[in-house]
Amino acid sequence: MEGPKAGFFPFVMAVIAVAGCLVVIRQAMKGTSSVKGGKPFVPAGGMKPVLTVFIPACGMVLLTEVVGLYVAAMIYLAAYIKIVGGYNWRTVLLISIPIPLIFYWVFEKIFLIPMPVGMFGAQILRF
Amino acid sequence: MDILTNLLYGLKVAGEPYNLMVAFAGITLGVIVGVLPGLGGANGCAILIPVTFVMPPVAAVILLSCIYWGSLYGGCICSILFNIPGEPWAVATTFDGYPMAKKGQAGRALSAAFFGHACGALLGTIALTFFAPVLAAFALRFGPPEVFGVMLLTFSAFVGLVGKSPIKTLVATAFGFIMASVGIDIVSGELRLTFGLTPLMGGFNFIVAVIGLFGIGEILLTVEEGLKFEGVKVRMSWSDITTTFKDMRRYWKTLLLGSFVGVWMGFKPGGATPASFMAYGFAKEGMAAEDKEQFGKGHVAGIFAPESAAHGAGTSAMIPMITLGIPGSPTAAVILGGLMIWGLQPGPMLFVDKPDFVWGLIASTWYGNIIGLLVVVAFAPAFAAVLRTPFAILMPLLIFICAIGAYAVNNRMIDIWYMMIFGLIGWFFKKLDYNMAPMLLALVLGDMAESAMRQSLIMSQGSLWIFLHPPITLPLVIAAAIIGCWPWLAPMVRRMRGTEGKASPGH
Repeated sequence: MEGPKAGFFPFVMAVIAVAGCLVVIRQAMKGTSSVKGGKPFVPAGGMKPVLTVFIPACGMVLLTEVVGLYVAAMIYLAAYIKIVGGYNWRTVLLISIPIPLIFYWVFEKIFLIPMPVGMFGAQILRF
Repeated sequence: MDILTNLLYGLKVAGEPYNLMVAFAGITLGVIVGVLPGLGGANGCAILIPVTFVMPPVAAVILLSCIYWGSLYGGCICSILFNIPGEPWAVATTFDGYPMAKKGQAGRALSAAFFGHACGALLGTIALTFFAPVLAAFALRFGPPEVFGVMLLTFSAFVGLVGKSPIKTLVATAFGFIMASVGIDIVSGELRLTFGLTPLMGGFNFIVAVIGLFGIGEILLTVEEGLKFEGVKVRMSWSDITTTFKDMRRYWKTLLLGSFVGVWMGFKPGGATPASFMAYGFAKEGMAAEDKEQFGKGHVAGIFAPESAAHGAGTSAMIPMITLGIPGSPTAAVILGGLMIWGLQPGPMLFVDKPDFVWGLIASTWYGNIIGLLVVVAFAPAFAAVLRTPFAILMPLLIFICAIGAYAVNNRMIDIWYMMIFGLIGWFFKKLDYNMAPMLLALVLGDMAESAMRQSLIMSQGSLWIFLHPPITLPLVIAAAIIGCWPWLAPMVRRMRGTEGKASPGH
């Protein structure tokens, strides 16, 4: 007694998805969709803030691969607060160093949940 | 009465000092999470699931559900003061809440929202206490075809009733199911959709998806309007609260309507978001002409309706979650995932096997919501001040916290990358008006739905008729078909009734 094999379900779902997409395209072209178009995809000047958030965030993840999450977070926070926020160095350091350290203490020491250490993180945070 | 005895037993369990402490922590965290845009009930719970590994399951579920209640209470703070919905369901609250705040009635608006939540919570908790056990007993008779029928009903309810474009919802659902199939197939053990890549073998974890879709995606969407979170200052005073009591007496019908809509939508899976919009729409229709004018400009009932609905839905979303294993809302989906991680099998057997868990949870819902109301009324300005943190500091912190949450699930670096990708997907899809909730639900339920379907087909030796014949499956499938096709049936029904020319009720 055999049921449908592994490929059945994803296949059916894919057919539904593609068919649905075709209908959506057709609706958009004919203008019969219940959602009216005509708005710009992103409000004027909207892409810049989105990228300002997204690209540095990706940068932080990339850094995590190298130095681990906590060090990466410190660098990311510091860079962001300084460059985007424009605060003075004192504020920047006062926020970007202690906060990841607090998280480190809470998660690593109290909850015992490890975070990625990257290639060099173990040397930098040696406690 | 059996139920009351069980409830008292549950209160004893939930009343233990550790659990009480956990509940209080959960509420506070939940309010903070609800206040912050980008972090919501769903990803707040998701981020803290790994923390719960060291707790006994009762405390764990109390923590998560209290975070849920807290986030429900907190979500409206952001909407009213900042015109930024802290949660997807809080969008309807911005319609009347923010105008009220601008008119200097912020305290009244907030107080109205909080008490609206309390009413929804009350109705939802009553439903939870009295309806859930009944449903569980009924659900014991469910086999694979019945389970599949319920799943079908769930998703067709999304397609038919939620959102502006049913086709797009259908695509989103299908997409979610495809993502759920990536990795090892549960029934046959084969690898699917991995393209030979090792990272894909583990599939996509729903927690990571939640954090990405609803967290990062929401942040990206919010900042389009600019890199800032500006807001109205507020101070809650006693007069605000007494005004609210007067408002509540005047608009009690709206409150009741909203709570009912909420409880119904949460239970018949839909969630807080569609519930809040539906309630707003119904309330507006039901108002006298002059009141209708005020909707959108700052009318108290415009806050009562969506808020009571949202909280009612949130509470009643727990009902199908613990009785049928079907989450009624994205956050309930996360809690369900947590249940599975803790080794508990959601469904009717849970009532039988682990009554202390179930009734402890139900009892904690009672006092959790009461504590939540008190906390939020007392500390609303303090929570609002959290948002006053400058954007450049708050935003990277949020991303940092999300990254912690994503990684903590499975200790895989790739999950943080997935989170970013899901964030992009979430932002993109939301811009194109594709509803994320059914996609997430499909991701969580995909395996269950698929194995239910395949087992049914094995049972029937390949015949599709099995889905149409037993006494429970048939009505479920028929209901699913009707609700799913409702967007096309509704105009026909209206034409038959002769009310042509009326615009279709968007929500």
